[in-house]
Amino acid sequence: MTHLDDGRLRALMDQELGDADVEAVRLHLEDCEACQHRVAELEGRAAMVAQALARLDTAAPAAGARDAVLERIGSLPSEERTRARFLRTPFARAAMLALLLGAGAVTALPASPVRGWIAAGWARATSLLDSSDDEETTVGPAGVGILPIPDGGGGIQSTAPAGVRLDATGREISIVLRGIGPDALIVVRMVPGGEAGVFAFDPATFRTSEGRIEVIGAEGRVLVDLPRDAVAASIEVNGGIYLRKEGDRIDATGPIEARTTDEIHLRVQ
Amino acid sequence: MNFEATFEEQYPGLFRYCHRLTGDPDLAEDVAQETFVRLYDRRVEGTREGLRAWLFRTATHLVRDRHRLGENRRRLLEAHPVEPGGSEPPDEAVQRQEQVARVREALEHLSVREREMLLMRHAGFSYREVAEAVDVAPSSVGTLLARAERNFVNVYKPPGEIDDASR
Repeated sequence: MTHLDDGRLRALMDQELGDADVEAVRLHLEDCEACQHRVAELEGRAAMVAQALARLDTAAPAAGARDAVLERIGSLPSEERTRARFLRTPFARAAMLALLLGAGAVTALPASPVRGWIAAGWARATSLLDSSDDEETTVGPAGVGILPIPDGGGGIQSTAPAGVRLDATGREISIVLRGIGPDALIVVRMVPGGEAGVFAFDPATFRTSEGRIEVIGAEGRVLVDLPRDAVAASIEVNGGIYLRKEGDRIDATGPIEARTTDEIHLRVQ
Repeated sequence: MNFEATFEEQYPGLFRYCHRLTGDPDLAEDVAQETFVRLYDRRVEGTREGLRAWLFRTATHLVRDRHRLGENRRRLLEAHPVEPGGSEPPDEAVQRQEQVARVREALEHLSVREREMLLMRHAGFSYREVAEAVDVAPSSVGTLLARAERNFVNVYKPPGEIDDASR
């Protein structure tokens, strides 16, 4: 008898399995004492971890937290002033030069593995240019809009995001996402310049042609960089239009989950 | 978005998560506040669930970035001392401090992502939300959580076991 793996059993405990899967797992459990024993073991561990973690709650939020947040908000510099100051720094200029060189290398060596690194560097660098806090230039956009570059540690079997870029300066670009998994999150960032880009994890595959980027079979999170300098752009997901850009006008018709001034999060239904 | 209502509803949970993640109440407070400042500054809009997920993802990334900057490296490796105060007898305060240290030591044996996944899941997030925060496929969350808990339990000794062993 083939036994169920811990992941499925854990997902059953957490009520994270689909209906069909739940039925199959339950049927198996009825006849398999080893897996029943395994479920009990996993439940015991989860309870022990929950109990242990609760021991860490030795502090409560400060009574003045709300006032402190409002004070910080009150002292925020204006967006224009911060952006202008940051763009004048040598770091920003160096970053722009590196990005231009990187973009050249991507164009020249489409099959090179260097392409992925440069693309990831681009994503990180543009996030720095988008940051409104120039004192923390090593801090990314804090959880949105970027697929972090794996640090190599941690023992997690996740793959590095791959991606493609295409110059859309003064042109129209279509970004077509097909076979995208249900519940996938499409993070669309408005980026300076004319380079469009799409990044996703395996098992996604990428195709590019004149004015078109096509991504097939992505799961989880997909990052789309939509260039401000493109004359027009569209993002199509599984046959439906989720977003259109005409000049500076953006019309998001897909299911919006969150929206900032520079980003739109769309959840695939 | 009603900023004040979101703050009232989400701040305590976000602080608790940051405190568990960092072991440092001052750093936890700072990160939780910074997260809300960014929520306001970036004019984030979304559903209640979407905003909650955004807040926790942002705080996770802020903590991660601060670790990279080395701000918290030393503090993370040491259990934050519990202030003996109030009416708690000194013996109990010391005992509580030891218990916190044991939990933190077990967490330190996990990878950063395992730790984040475990804390997010135990803060009530769905597999999908956990997957997005740590950039893994949603289908692998169950396996990774089970592994993280096994690694945690392999190191962690609950108070009862310690007492039994010392007899």
